[in-house]
Amino acid sequence: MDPNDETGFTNQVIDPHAIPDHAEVPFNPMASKFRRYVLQSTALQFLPLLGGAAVLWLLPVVQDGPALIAGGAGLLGLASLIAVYRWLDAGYRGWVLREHDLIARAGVIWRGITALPIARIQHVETTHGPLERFHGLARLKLYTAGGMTADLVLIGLPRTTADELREYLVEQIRKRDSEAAQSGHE
Amino acid sequence: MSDPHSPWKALPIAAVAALYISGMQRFIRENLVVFFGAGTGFAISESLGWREFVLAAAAALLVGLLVAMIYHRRFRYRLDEDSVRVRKGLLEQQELKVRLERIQNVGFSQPLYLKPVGLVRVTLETPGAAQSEVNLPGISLEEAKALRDRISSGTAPSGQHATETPVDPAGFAGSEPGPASRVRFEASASDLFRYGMTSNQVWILLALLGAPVSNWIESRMSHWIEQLRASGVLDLEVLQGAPLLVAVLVGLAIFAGALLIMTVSGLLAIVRFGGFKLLLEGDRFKSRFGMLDAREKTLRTEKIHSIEIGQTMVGRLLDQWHAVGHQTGGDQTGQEYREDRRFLVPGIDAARLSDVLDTLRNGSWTTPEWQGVDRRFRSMFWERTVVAGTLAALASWWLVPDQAPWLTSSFVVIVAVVVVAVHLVWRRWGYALDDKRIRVRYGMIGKTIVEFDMFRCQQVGIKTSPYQRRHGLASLTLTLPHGEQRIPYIERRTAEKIANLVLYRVETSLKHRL
Repeated sequence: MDPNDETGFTNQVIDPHAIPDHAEVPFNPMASKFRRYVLQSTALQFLPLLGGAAVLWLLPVVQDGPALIAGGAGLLGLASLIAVYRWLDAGYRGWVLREHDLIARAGVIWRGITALPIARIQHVETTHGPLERFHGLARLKLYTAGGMTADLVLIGLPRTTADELREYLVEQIRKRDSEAAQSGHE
Repeated sequence: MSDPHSPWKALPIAAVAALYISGMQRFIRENLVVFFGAGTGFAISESLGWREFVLAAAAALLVGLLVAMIYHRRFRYRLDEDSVRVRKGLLEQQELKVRLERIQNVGFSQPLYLKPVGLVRVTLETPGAAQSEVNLPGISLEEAKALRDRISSGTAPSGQHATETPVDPAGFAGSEPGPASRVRFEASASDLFRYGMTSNQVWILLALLGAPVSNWIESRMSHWIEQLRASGVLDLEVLQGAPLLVAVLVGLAIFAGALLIMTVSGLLAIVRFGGFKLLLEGDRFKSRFGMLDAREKTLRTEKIHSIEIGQTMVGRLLDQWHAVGHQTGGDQTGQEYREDRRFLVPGIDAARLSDVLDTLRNGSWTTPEWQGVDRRFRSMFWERTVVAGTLAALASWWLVPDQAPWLTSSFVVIVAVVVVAVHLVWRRWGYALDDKRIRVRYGMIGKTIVEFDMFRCQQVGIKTSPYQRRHGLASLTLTLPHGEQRIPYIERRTAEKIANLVLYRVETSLKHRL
């Protein structure tokens, strides 16, 4: 808790109206194919279960057909609900890159806005699974110090945007580190 | 960059014993639940007797010894000009390289079993996760001293170490502090005993031990009661006619049991933290403690990103506090590692609390004007609890009508307890902020207060449920390097203002690197 850590900012009077408001920024939507991707990935996740139920129903040894049909219908209903939720969520999700931070929003019922200062990012990576590659999507993972998992994941970005964001952030981290080294704050 | 005069070094052969004992300790600690399950299985099973138990234990001990020997054989370390490197691993060889400038703390520890062989355990803590921490499980005192001096010279900002007295690891246990050290806090045996009595961990341990131990207690109690009855001291018929007396006796027995457990916990705290001293040496704090496992922990003042003080439920009765200095990294990983990584100051009485805090935070600690969270936090949980209780009671009348009356009574009691608990939690939640810092207070009967500089935050989040949106409320989450601090159910606009201020503080701070 060194009081000299914030030299230059210690005694300034801050006008609360002058501080940028993170809640009033225009959010960028996710990629246009993201909604299609979430529907397909949900279907792929439930397909093995539904396929298993169908195979069991077709097998002559299984006696309790109606129960199996009810179970399959239940699974289908659950998959549909999850798909609808993810579809709505995909539409609400958004992100915005500001000069000093990256803000993301997500959620349909429980909504959240998360702001991650670029100053705190230690490591950036982009990943994409086969289905994401097929749709030209990628996810951007941002890591801060101390954590073992990514602190913020932007899912459903166009792949080019994700790569550009990664390169931009890596450059910012590099600049910050070299400035810190020069000013003796390393 | 590597120094040709610094080849890979092996651990001394005596370190096998240290590896063996610490490995077995860790294995038992990490699999405590499995051991209790197996113990219960042995106790219940008729086909498994003492012979099988001893054979299984001997096999486990032998395997452990083999593992320790292989680990020792494959363990190598070297100190280069600018880094420490370690090679280790049983089947898969892992090489770890940590730059000296990344090492924020050097910890020494000398458990009882390392004293006769003259070895110390050295831990080099970095801001990263547990996997990036270097742990030398047993090296000679001279090696430790040399390593420490090299790291100190490698990590020290220019000029800062000129006033620091290097501590000889050989004498760190119970030694007098050097001339540049200032003892800022000492915990006496009675302070530590009270700390142990008030510690919450004893109750967690009791919950874990509860199942296997309760069977044993039950059988012993039955035996004693039978003996007392046979000797004529106890007349069961009299007791059956006096339910109030039985209730009082049971209450007294529970109270005596709790007192016994708290006493044991108090004694364990004396053993663990015996001779606790908090020292300030130059730019770092040191804590020295431990009767059996003599330890020294170091914390650089600039690495403290938040200070936490806590008072447990029993701690309130005894006016007993503890303080924790949180540093970057580690806390998000496993419990054992987290516990080990905390810079804990135990056994603080209320009179000395402000002194300890002023020392840790390098400034005065004044009681802030607390802002509470919205009363809808309480009413929302109350509503849901009452609805859940009513539904459960209705379900019991529908499903098991013959048992419904006592089930309904139980639900009423549970709902009443939850309602009171929610009220206490709501009343305790609070936050206070000045220009630079935030304090958050939470708890139910006990309380925890965390204070941190806004510029230390890593992430800011605002979450809203449909209920909160209807009432213009939000929950604010501030992520610090050691974990999250939440302020639930505050006005949405207030949450946004705090979030904006925190972001402003982080983004205008010159200290961008942790």
